[in-house]
Amino acid sequence: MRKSIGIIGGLGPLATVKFLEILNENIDKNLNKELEIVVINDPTTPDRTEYILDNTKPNPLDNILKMVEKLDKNNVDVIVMPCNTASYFYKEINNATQTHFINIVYETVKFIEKMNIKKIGLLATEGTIKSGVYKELLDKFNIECLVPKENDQKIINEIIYGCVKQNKKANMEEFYKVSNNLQNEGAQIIILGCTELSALKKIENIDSLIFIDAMDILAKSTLEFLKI
Amino acid sequence: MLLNKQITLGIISSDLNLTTKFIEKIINNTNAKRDQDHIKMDIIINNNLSNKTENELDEFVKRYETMNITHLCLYYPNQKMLNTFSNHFEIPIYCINNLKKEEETIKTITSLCNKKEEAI
Repeated sequence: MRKSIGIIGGLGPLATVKFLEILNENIDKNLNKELEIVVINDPTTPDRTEYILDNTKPNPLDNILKMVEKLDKNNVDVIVMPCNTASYFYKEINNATQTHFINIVYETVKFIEKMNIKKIGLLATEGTIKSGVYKELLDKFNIECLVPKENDQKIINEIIYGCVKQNKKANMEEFYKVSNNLQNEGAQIIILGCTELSALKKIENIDSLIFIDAMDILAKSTLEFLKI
Repeated sequence: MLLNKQITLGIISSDLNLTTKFIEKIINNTNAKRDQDHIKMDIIINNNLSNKTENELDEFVKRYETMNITHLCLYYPNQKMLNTFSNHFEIPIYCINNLKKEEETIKTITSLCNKKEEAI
């Protein structure tokens, strides 16, 4: 019996590739089931942060829902979306399909909740931070969410948009400076809450246990759901 | 001449590992300042593809027919796959069955992406 993963991709394209890599690393090599992975990869989807910060900008939801429709036509068993910022549209996406849709933010917070942590740092796009998708859930578990100060957030923005998305080398000294600042404020762990930062983790081999990778958690949750 | 935004590349393959690397090469060789400069792709990776009968492969053809792809990559296809898809689609089909073909295909596809937008 075929098991099928549907991926809303292109948000951004390199992050989607890194998500496939993580899936590949975690799939049982001796799997004796038919496994299909369908990726509808639409990087022309308008920028999610731009829309969240300014609702007069093009809305990415139309493109995302078209991808969901294509995945449903492919009869996938589960739909996943390796993009934290687009979780802003979780309700609309979930309502648009009968297929189980895994929420990257929810899975990450669920993971952290088991760790008995009181304070986390969040590295993410301004869109993710402003939308409060992480803070809202973390508040329910009484976990404090620290975010970078303005200048540090500019560094993160530059890493995401000026480096990873443009296939340019990121300034890792600056990256670690920002994460150290969050730790100095009391963050016990730091969420890589942007899939471009998850991509950076793979590219730069960031292996410190201080970082919790939301995209890694999403991949493992996906395989767990399908029991493969 | 298709505008970059109108290209949708279909990729069908049985190997997740190699296909992921192939896609990454396309992305890394595209001159992109932002996500929206990259091309759309509709990808199906099925680990049992080589065992499919012609009738079963027809199912994949039907799926791609609904996806409005403009170009198609068959990644290390067997003859059945090649025949099935070639018989159904009149779009450019790139059959990748060795490294040289892969490099040529990446060059061709990324040149489509990197071309300045021209009027149709």
